[in-house]
Amino acid sequence: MDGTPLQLVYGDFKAEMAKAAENVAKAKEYAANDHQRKMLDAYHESFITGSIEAHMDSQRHWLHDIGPAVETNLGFIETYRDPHGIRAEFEGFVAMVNKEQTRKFGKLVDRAPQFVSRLPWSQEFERETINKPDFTSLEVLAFATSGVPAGINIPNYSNITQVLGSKNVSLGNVISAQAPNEKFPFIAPKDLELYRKYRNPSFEVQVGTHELGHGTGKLFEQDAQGKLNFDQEKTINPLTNAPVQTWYKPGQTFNSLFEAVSGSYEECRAECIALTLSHHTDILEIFGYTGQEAEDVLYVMYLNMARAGLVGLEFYDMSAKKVAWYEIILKIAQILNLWTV
Amino acid sequence: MQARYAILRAMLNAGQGFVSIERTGEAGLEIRMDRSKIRSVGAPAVADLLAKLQIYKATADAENGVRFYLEATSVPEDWSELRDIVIKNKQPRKQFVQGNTLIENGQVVLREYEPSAKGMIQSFVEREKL
Repeated sequence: MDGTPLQLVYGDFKAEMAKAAENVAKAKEYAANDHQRKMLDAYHESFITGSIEAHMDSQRHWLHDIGPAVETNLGFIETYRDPHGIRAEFEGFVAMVNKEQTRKFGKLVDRAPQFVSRLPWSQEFERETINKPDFTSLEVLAFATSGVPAGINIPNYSNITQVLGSKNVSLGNVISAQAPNEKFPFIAPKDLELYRKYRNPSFEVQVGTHELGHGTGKLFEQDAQGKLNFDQEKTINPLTNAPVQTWYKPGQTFNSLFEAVSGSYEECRAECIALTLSHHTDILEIFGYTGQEAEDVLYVMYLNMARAGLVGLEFYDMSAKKVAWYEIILKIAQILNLWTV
Repeated sequence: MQARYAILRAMLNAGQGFVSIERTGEAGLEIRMDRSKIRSVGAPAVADLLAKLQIYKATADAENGVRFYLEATSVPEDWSELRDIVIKNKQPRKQFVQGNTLIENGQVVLREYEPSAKGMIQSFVEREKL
């Protein structure tokens, strides 16, 4: 760089990574199958040499290990804490599969086509083949990282997920974890008892229908040969009452076009789907709720959503809001994203 | 956060006595929801928001879609007071106290700790020793 010599020194976290590698090698003795053994070998290689390629390989083997009784994942995975969204934080978890819970999610997924047809759009706006998510419910034994999530969808390597898909995981005991004497501001006193009783069950139903929701919806696309994946003359946009005029061109994705808001937008879509589907009694029944109990679970779900919307205000930056030409405010908001979370 | 706020707004805007946020006392808020109107008012309001989100996404309409979403998640000036109350009622961040496993007489033993600062520290100290 302008003549100044630069020396790159490798070996951050050498001691910790060596310890992790040593234990990963020992774990091989207890692996349930060949996929797990290969995964552990790849982890070892990655932790000793620092190779991301080796870690990617570990994730390929991990995805091939379908339906293990003990689920794990290790590595530098989530980039939430890096302002540039590039550097990942180390995490490691070990969890046991909750077979009963997983079966419930499985039933939901099996009847997905029937449930998805109830969403507020016509058939032309839905995928021909519903993306059936691989969905497991886990009970965490240990989760080592700065922030323990309630649900995960990994790996994050999009080059791998395009080819092999991903694993969707709901962390049951994280969802139901309650602090002693936890308070729930904004819930009316008359609702508190019901809320405490059904908060976890309703969140379970919400997570299930939410994840299902992520796999729904058709994106109108044009391929490299110019061919559209929909009938442009006959597909009417309900908002304009005219034929659909815009679609994704080659190289464009939802994330690339919607940019800064795409993550939150998609979460909103999935949460809306959760609320729109969960009031159907046959869906509540899959989770084991019927009659009055089902109605209570539904009520608490809607209450909880209202509360979450209110509590979230903490993260809105009121001071940055200014009145300006709409196009400018749009650009500024997109860049700054007025919501910090 | 942003997403759930948009849904709250949609439910509030549906009117028809479905849900409201009432001030209580000096610095309190209460959500009042008529549960008998979930299927008739609440769910359709959310479905309406959902349909719009879906259509903009499906048709790659980022211009209208982003504008719509930013509008749906914008917080009006007169909500400043509400936000202040929300912050006053902020609960302490939750911490997970995780257990440890060890081998005793050839058996795996799970050791758990009390959900308190003391339990948290103890779990870390014992984890280092293992």
